Amino acid sequence: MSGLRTIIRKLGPGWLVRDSITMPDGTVVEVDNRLLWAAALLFDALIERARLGIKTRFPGAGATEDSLVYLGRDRLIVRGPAEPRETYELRLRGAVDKHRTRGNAWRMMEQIRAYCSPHEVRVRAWTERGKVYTLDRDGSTSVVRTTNWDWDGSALEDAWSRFWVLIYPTDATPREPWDRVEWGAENWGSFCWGSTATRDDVQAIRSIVETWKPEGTHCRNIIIAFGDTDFDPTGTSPPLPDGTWGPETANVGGEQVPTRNPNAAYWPGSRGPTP
Amino acid sequence: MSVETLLESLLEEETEATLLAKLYAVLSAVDLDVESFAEGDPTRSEVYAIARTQEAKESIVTGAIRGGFTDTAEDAWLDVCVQSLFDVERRGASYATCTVRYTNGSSQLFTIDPEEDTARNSTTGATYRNTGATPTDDTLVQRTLAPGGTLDLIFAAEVAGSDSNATTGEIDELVTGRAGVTIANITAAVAVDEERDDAYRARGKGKLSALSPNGPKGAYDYVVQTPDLNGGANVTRSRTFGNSTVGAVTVYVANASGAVSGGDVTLCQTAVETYCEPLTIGATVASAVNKTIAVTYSLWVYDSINLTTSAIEALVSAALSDAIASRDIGGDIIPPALTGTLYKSFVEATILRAVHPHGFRVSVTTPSGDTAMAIDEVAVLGTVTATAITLIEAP
Repeated sequence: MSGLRTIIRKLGPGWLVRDSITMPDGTVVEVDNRLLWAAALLFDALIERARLGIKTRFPGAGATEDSLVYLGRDRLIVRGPAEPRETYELRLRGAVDKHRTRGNAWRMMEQIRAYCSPHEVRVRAWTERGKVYTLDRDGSTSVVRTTNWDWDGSALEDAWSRFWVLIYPTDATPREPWDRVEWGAENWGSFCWGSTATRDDVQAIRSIVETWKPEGTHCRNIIIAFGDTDFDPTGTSPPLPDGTWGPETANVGGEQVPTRNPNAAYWPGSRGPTP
Repeated sequence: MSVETLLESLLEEETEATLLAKLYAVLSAVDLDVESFAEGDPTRSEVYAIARTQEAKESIVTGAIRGGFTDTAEDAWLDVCVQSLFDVERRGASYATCTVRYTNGSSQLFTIDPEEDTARNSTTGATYRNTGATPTDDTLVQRTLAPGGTLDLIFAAEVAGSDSNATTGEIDELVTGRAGVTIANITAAVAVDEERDDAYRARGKGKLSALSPNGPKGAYDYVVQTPDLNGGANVTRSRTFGNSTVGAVTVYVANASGAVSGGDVTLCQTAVETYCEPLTIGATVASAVNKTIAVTYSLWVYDSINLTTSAIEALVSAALSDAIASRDIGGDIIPPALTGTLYKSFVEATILRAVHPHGFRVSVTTPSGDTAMAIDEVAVLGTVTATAITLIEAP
């Protein structure tokens, strides 16, 4: 025991700081003055509350689960639903360094990958100009230039600041953090269209893209790719977008057929009014 | 109590009553006969004194704990928190300045030393002092007003903040005695109030955006609202729209009164180009356009509020003024909509909050419904009319 309670007997003369108690067997024992002790207990509780309260503001050095929410808001770092506390606290502590290069493809993809942790996803950012940044499952990075991506036939001068974000869930069964879900499957109504991602997941990923992209750019779609070799930057067009992927379906010979790779889910990217 | 919700419990403030109850529980647990503490008993008085003393410390400790997080910190703790986390200082209130023209209708020559003369706005009662400078000469020296002549001097408000704002001609009384001399301000006097808590929090967090040279969201808002970066422009609100396929960014700016002057827009444009616009991105700063929101309401309040109806009306007007001044440019946008709205329910909630917990019913007839807002429009409070404020006997 520490605190004010341990020093009561040193605070004054014996008649003030000590109590004599007669026990049931008739013996008399001396204890600290009980009124002073009770007051000291409350003061010690207040001091402990202050100590713990101050510590809650330090990620990795006293922050609690509920204070992490506030710390995340202050640092604009979104925690993934399954993200371990230790990795999130590390991200909070390194937030300022990450913000120094916010707007860069790598920072955005790191945030998305961390949101999906502990599941090791691959994240890719594909620009209209054909520059493809990949942050792989093992953390390695690569950049490839390609001209084999034509989403909807737009001329470069009309859409040069567009980009796409591709997220590859784990190559396991079931895929994590999201797997394919078909119409009518069990609980399909609680997921967003085409995958087991919830509305919160989609909004969180879109929010991360919105926060970590440069202003003046437009994320056309966030693509959840269920085929590990799909959307290969070294591939051809098709199967890469061939200029017909603007609408999700097209009329071919009188029949409405999908235009896009059916082994993926397509979320809307940037939101909000255009300037 | 779970350790995981520790913060929540740490933020609970004890009252004298709860502390008293705990003290008595502890005293009973250590076998003191608390039942014998009769009224007037010194020990009972001591217990009350301890509880009351402890209560006084509660708010200090709670304030310090709240002060660790931007969203929960308040008052002076908010300043400490934002400064330590983001190195951003709260924008203080400024002193309104303007040009006042002296007209000498007498045959006497007058000399005017710096800070010698006091002028007054006869409408608001705000007072101003001459600085010694003129519109064309910054030096603070004695000036001369010739017989039958005119003289323009720079005056500064004696009190900081927007209460000293004055339109052209409103500063019309020369308090300092100079027979035959009349004055009137030929330029408006405009000042800003101290930065509000919500705006300060947002600007602090926005500093993180401004750390990057890549023009992320938030950098533009931080730059146009920070006096050290925007050349002193009077901008307290902004909204950036950068969802573009061709690198276009538009930043709408406003202040507490609404639309911003052309000069301030130019200052902000320069600031954006200097501090946050990356190469190939085209950022444009534009003033928001005022959308006047008049409010007509009826309110029912319990008389436990202990205020007159005119005092209640003033409370509601002040609350509406604060609330409208804090709304984002473009209103509240609920996706997938691309334009925003000022919701009638927000107005109703603001009125009830102003008289909380005594108010229980409000009927807002103007606006009659939700007000649609374009992305460049900023809400400005219009005429506030209380159709009826009914005081009901408290139950």
